[in-house]
Amino acid sequence: MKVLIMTCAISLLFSIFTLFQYDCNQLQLWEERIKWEADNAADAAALYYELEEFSEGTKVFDKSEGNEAVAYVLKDNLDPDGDGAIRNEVLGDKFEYYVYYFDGNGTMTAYKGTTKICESAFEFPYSFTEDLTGYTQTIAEATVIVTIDAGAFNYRLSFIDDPDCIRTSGFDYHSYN
Amino acid sequence: MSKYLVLAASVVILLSFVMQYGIEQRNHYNLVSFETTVNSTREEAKQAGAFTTDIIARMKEKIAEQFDVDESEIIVNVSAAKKYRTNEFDEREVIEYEVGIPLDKLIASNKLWGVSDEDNKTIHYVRGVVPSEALEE
Repeated sequence: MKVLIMTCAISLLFSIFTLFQYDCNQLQLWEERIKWEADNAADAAALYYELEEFSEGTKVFDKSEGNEAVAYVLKDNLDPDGDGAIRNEVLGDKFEYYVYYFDGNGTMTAYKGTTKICESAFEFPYSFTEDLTGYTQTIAEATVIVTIDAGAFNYRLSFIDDPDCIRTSGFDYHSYN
Repeated sequence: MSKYLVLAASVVILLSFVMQYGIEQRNHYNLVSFETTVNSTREEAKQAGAFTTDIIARMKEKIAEQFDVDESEIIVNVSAAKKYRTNEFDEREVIEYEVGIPLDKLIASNKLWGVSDEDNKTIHYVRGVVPSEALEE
């Protein structure tokens, strides 16, 4: 009887351990995926710029086209059902993203999704710190930075705090003289 | 005697948890490596405007080496036509891809838990789109 009780207790402990291991792995996998997608979205947004300003030697991003491209790649890669929730079993319903455009004319424009939330002037080189993640980058060229906030990761063990699943990535073009 | 029989059964059950730990870590490592390979490859495809035959062959070779699987077991569905970068965003000019690999063992001692070998395997897919960076000549 003693052996049986011990086996049941150890099995329960191992089950908890197995669940924790699986969830930790899923968190790591999703953080990697979100990082790749932030990178991909920043790249997509940086592809579109105003041709007139570019002909004068200044890169000013076309925010309208950039935002459309970001929304499309993120929707297709993370939210194909279009219900505002990332395709997954382990993350919550939250899915927000921020796009920061640093134009060559010294204007920074920030968007939450496709809604403009801020516009300000800056000077190159500029040290940018993303408030949500603490990501810091020195802006020396026209740059696009994307942050994806996928909300809290749901650990199935209720006594573990749910960490935030949020990643930032930037994309810039280096000019060569 | 009954004590030893219970002990023997207990050891079998408990050992399956230990084996599950190893299988889970192996599968996780493989998935991270696989997704990293596919995502790195899509960067090459962006530059080329499509998943060209060369790019697909290199990706398959790398995945086959990492997973010790036959290249024919790797599922690759990608946009065949070359896509181009345009001044305005165009949904038709994005590169679509879907790559899958078989995972042949998900649960350790599956028969002990009543899971058949057929149910104990799956195909893991990575799907998505990337914008093309290739310029029309």
